[in-house]
Amino acid sequence: MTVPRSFIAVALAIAIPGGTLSAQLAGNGYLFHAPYVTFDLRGGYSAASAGSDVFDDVTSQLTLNKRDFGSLTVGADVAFRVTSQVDLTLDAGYSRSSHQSEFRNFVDNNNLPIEQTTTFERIPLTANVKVHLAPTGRSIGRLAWIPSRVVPYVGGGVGMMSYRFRQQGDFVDFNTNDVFNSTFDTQDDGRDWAFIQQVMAGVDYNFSPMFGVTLDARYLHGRGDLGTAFSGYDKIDLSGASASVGISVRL
Amino acid sequence: MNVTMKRCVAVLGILVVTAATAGAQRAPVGPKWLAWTGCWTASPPGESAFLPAPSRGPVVCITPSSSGDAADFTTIDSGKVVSTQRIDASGAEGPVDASGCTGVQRASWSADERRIYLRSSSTCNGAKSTTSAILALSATGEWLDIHDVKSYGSDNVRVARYRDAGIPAGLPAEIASILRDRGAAAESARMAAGGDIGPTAVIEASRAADSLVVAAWLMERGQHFNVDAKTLVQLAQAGVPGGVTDVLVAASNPGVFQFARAQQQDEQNTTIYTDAGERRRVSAVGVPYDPWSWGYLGYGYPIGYGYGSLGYSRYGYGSYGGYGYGGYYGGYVPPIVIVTNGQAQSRGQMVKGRGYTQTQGSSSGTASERPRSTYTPPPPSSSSSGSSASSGSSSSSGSSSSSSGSGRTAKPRP
Repeated sequence: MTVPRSFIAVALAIAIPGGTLSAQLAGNGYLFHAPYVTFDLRGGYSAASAGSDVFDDVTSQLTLNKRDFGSLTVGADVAFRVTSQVDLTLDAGYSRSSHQSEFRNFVDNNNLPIEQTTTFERIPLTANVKVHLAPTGRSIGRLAWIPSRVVPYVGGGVGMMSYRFRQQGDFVDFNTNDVFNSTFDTQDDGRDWAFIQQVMAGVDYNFSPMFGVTLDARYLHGRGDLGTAFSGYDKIDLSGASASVGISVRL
Repeated sequence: MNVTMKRCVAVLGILVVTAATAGAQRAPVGPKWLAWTGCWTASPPGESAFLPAPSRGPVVCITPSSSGDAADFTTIDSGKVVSTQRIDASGAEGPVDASGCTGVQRASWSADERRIYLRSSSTCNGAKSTTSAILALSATGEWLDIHDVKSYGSDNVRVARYRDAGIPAGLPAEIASILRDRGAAAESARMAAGGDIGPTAVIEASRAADSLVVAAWLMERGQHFNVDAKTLVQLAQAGVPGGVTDVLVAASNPGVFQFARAQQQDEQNTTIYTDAGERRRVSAVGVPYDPWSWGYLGYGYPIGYGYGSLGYSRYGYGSYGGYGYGGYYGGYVPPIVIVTNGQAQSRGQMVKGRGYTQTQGSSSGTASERPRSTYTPPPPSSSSSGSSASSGSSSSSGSSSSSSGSGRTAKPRP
């Protein structure tokens, strides 16, 4: 997942000390208005629950553990102010684990391991309601808005997740014990979107009128079809918890 | 007093101001009316406070009384005393002194004795009204006279600026004598009284006067503030209205906001052009100075975002209306809107027969601006230079050039 260049350009323009945009938006410790929108860029770690039977099989047959499906994650959201303590956020994330493995129990006829790579990719896109547990700031007059220093929040939302569970490499045909090279991919037949729900909690620490640090924890729940490449399995468990730290920019 | 002496005194005054600006609320600046004592003439916007007084025309002379708290405001024209109003700033409440009116009025000094706050509540021929005013001095020694007259729920704020008129010829002897005796200390006191103000003064003024008056006073001072979030919180907690803190925020961020004077229309709907650009002419009638009304040669503006009216007048109170000068006396429509600088700089107009012209954003920051709800300023214009170059097409010589605030100029193609 790539961060839009325009967003980076805006963030850099704002972040440059003495930047004209920053000077146009904020005074000495205050914004000139309550923020209309807040951008947040975050990074952290996303664990995968890996609770469905496909993971059970994979981890039992290959040299993989369930924690191997966790990975670093990046995310971004844009929050629109609804009330002084409620935001509507549009949120996107990206996490991808990719691990090499071999059959725990099989080697080939040359005593070499039978190797493959398993990739688990999740891209959640959600709409959330974020409720701040304290006022996000204080308006003084109509031209000054002073952010609160520390603002905890909770929230939740729904959305869709684009996901991909893919194994590529050498595999054992348990019917024939032949070792064959193949790819198993949930996206082979386009079934790669699933409905998800998530809850979140965190805290914003505002160190300037425009900028803050966000500590965020969230749990996402969802299950998706595996497609024809994985026959007979239950839906794949897309759930997982994540923790991240981010930089927020208020405009 | 000759010009050289005046300059020396002015420099001395500035030094006094500089030395004294450390405190937000400073000590009194001498005998209470010392800074005010003198004769004053109307001062148009943008005109230097140090210009010599016009040789003719009405003046308002302030002379202290023996009590210390009171002073007489005498309107004089062509050597004739038109009216005399006494302001007793002792803080004592007194009856309204006007025929056909009942009510009370009160004048008081600020704690640092640099300003006078006025309040009155009256009923004149059945019409109820209240007045709130601040009389203050600016950093350049001008007298700022700001009144808000409220009646039937409508606010009408007017500002008049006056500069020292020296000792005009034909002044009544008793007044001339007082002015000759005031000495150089009056100049210093005037400069000190007009020095920078801090949050304490703003808080006090907000308690003593209506917020519209305080806001107009802060705008007219032209002082650069640098309020931070902590100060804003202190002001808010002290009860300073948002309209007042907005002015402080705008004055603290001149790169973002500027005060633009509003377009207004008079009955004739005429338009005048001034150094600051196009501006609607506001008809005004000079009246003898009346501290409980709008003031001499004051020009009205509805500071309250669209309310108020130019046609409002008070009935039978004071000597209003009894002395008409008419015409344009250099008065002006004070600022009522806060706009972004970027927006102001990009305003332009293409006028048939004249080519392109800037209608707003001159370095003086006083160009006219259409009133709007400007507290949610739109994003700055992407270019401020687009309107700065002369088209040259309409110039008879074809070689005229105009300059933008950035110093960019145009010249004829060789």
